[in-house]
Amino acid sequence: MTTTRWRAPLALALAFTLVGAACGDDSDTAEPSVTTTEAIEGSTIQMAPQDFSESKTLTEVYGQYLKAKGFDVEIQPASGFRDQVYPGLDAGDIGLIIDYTGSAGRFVDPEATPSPDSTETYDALVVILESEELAAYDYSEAEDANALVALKSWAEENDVTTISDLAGVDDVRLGAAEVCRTRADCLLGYQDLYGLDFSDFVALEYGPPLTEALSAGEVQVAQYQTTAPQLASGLFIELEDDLGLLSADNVVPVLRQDLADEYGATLADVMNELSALITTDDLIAWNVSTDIDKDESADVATAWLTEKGLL
Amino acid sequence: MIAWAAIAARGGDTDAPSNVIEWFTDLENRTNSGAIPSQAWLTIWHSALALAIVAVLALPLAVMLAHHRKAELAASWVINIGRAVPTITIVGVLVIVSLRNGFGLEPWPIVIALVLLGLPPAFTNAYAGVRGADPSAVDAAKAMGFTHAQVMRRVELPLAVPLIMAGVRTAAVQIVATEPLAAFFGGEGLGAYLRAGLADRVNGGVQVQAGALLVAGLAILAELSLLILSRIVVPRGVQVGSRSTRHRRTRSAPAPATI
Repeated sequence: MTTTRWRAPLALALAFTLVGAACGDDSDTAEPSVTTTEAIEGSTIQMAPQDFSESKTLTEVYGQYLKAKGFDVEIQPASGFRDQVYPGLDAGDIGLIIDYTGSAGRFVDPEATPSPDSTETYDALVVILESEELAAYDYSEAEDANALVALKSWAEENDVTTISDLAGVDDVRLGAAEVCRTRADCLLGYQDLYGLDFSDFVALEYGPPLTEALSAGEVQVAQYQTTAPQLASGLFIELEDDLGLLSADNVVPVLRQDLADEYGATLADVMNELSALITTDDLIAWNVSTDIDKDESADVATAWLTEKGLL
Repeated sequence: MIAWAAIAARGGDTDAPSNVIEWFTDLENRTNSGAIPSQAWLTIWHSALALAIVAVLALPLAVMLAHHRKAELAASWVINIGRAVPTITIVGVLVIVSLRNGFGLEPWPIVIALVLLGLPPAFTNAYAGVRGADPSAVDAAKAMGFTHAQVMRRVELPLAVPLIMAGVRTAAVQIVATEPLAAFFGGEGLGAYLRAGLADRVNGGVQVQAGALLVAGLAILAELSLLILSRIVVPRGVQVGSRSTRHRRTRSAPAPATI
């Protein structure tokens, strides 16, 4: 064999090795060791988050905990908001999601009336879900409600503390995810209930693009969430919902009725146990890790579960 | 008592268009995502601006480098960044950078991303066109005492124009087809229909189709207009199918590829 004959095969082998290493599975580092728990018989629980950091972290927290308890869980990548997730639930592609009481109820039944009371909202949700063959486990005290937020400096300058105050300000641009445009508890509600006439609706990705745009003054108010790290840090303030458009939104697991029936108390007890441990401060802390420190949701979940001695 | 039913009814369109033709003819449902002319105009001027910048940056550089046979590798490396990094990533990053530095949401993030996208085809074709210009013609010109600038301007460039125009056309189509990304990052334009359609789980499919058709239509329009421009700009002797190229003898170097 001449000296040049081995170069091509060697280069090819090297290339394959590199590609193989690059394609290696990095998620192994986040897997908790489940060597001692017995596997629980039953169908795979397919979980899917909505496309924002808090939803991903919550899904990871519940998902990893369930895996540690022996359930067969698969967490799908985020594909959108409720508009994409609920059809998946109906079709059976998704089995279990972690949602929020008020918003979920209003999404499934657009004519449901909101309530700032957590228990009332939860009870109403359970009834609404029954007709869709979905069930809900206990809700958590942790809450992340929708909120109309503004830069604190802008709000002080324009003397705005409630949503109604916006009527007296010229040129208010609203920034939100595109889905807000057709929601009764979002743009439509602000227009009809509050009588607000925004000078523009800017559709932005829910997350850093939206908060950056608000910080830069591209929009004056944004439809965001009560657990935003910028609220905790004082950069943004939440405008008071004086006419009761936005409801209580406690974290609540929603799942297919047939999945709940299959697992019964085995799954219910485990889920309720975990729900009782999560607090609103946890949500805020998770958001700071994912949105400000740019940590991965899976890692944040693992760290929190380990700290609580649950893994 | 809050009239939730009434508010909610505004969001769910029971008489939404059920197919693409209806969507185009039913004007009422378009007010949600803006009128077609104004959205199309935004896409057109973003694309035109990006293409103009691509032409100004890529063409002179490519012609110079090809003529002098210098720095080919380094230049194509740099230019090909546009091919390597996904445009959506570039727009996402630039939007944040732009916001933090007071440049707003439009137009710079999308225009810069589109320029990076359009540089590779324009540069590569222009380079190949000049580099592949009939060597006998170039030699003859040099023998006649033409300066570098004269060789480039009177021999290489006219011979390379077909390839250059092909590169510009490719860049234009890619730019127009990718411009809708702007709508997903706080902008508007024809991408707004795609964005609104994707967010609407009940009636969105039709809007997505309509938006896609509009974008494709605009891209085809861009290609056609540049084809017409090519006809005008390419010297008659160099055009495919002209008498001089048809009767060219194949004894010498092969004729440059004219597209």
